Amino acid sequence: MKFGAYLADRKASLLIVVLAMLVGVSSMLVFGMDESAAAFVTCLMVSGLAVDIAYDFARRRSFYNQLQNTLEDLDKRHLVSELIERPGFLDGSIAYDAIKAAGKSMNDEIAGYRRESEEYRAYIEAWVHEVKTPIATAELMVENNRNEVDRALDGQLRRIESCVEQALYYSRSTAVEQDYLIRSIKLEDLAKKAVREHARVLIDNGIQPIFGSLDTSVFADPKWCGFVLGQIIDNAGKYRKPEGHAVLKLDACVVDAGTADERIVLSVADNGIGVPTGDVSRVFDKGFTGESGRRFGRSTGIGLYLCKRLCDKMGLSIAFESEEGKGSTVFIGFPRNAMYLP
Amino acid sequence: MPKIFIIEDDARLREELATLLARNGYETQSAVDFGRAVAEVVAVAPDLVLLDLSLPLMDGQMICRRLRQETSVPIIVVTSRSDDADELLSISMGADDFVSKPYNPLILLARIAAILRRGNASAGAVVSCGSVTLDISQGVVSHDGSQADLTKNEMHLLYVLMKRAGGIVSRADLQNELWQSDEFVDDNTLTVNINRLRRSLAHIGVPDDFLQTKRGLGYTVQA
Repeated sequence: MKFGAYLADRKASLLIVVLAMLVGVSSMLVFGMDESAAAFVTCLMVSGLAVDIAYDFARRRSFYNQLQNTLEDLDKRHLVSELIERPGFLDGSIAYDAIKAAGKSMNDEIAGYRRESEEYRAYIEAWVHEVKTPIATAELMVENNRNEVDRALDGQLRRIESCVEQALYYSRSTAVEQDYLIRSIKLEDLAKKAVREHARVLIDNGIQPIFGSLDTSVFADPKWCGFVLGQIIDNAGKYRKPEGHAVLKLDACVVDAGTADERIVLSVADNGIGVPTGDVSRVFDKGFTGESGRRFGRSTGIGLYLCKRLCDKMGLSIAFESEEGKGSTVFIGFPRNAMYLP
Repeated sequence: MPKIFIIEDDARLREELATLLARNGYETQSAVDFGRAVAEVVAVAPDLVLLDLSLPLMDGQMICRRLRQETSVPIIVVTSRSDDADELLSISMGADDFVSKPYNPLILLARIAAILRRGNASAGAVVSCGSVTLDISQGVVSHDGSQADLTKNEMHLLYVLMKRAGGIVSRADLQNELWQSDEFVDDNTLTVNINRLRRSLAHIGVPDDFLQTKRGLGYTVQA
């Protein structure tokens, strides 16, 4: 709060006071009061006015400056009422009470939504765990009664399973609190486990995995990473070229060595149909299917979006490169130093 | 015949598990009353317990802890929860392994075999079909008194085929089976491995029709 602005704001009342003072002084002189007495009274009135202005300005400034500064420093601005003190002057305290009430109602509202979304998330989580029992049963039934129909059913069951898994991770990615466990894992174990778990996708599509130099350890949540790699492997299966020898190459290298950004980048490269240049920058967008996705008709626009969200939460970087007709590569960057993890 | 005790609340899943295990050479028994599950296990004295964590009335984790206090029977925890925390908790409560639903039946069987092998070096280590016997711990196949050493892949393939003797095992299943032990063979290598296995079998006088190709479907071993 600036003094000039404050004075400008009070100009009407100040004008009236000054006018009244002028009228008072001139009437004193007209009624024959002694000049020095008039000057004394004028001095008294002017200093009284000055003290009033100074006192009022100081009170207001301390409250409004505190309000403005607090507001500026906060990233959750609706919490401002919790951090300011109730001022001693009337209009300030009215404003304070109003802010406080508005803030409280906002907080209640937010708490309500948060509770609702938490409940929904808990429901999804419970539902996913519930639905896994019938899926497991059905898979055993297929295993126990192997014939042609069952083999086809097996593929469908695996698709259901992967959709269910995706729903679980989607709901986990929206969680406010952290529910993953970051620890040191060997990239080779991570990559091979993901390939083992998604072996059928690769085998059924005739895609051969190739493992490069993966003999390093990284910091990440193995389950979450396994899910991310699974999505990438599923994509390799979906967007395989109809002919030719298909491969999926998993390799790692160190990037920006010696700097604070030093990280281990895991690359997963397929030689599938690829993505048109214009679509590359949008593959991580939610619901984006792109030309390849539409043409091959099985894109949901969720897989890579979810990968990005999970990587963001774990503090990993994820990038995508592709050349149409040549294949796509997904890069996942693991910070070398555990210090940079969230 | 190794005996496996199943503690699982879903009746259908329990039946299918029992069928799967029975077909793979295990004797099974399951808990009727979960409140008395621990006592039943002690009475039956199985070689392994398959325990579902999410049971009605009684917490599976409680059962796991009490089982550990009572016996040293190997426990494999089966659960639909798949987070690390659950896995850690189960292992710390004394479970020997942890499998999350829905599990690949073959992986479940492999884990069971691995745990049983750990406890008893000879359990499940020998499979026979007619006059052909496969000793997994030695990597040796024998027929009519003559023996042949098998490579790891050949042994693995023969094991899977003999376990499902009489049924057809698809090429994809065989490939998957090898991949599960980190042998990421391609289609051609699988053919090469099968041919080598055939040659090894022929060498010790196993008749040609023991391991048959079912065109377009896969392979089958005579029971």
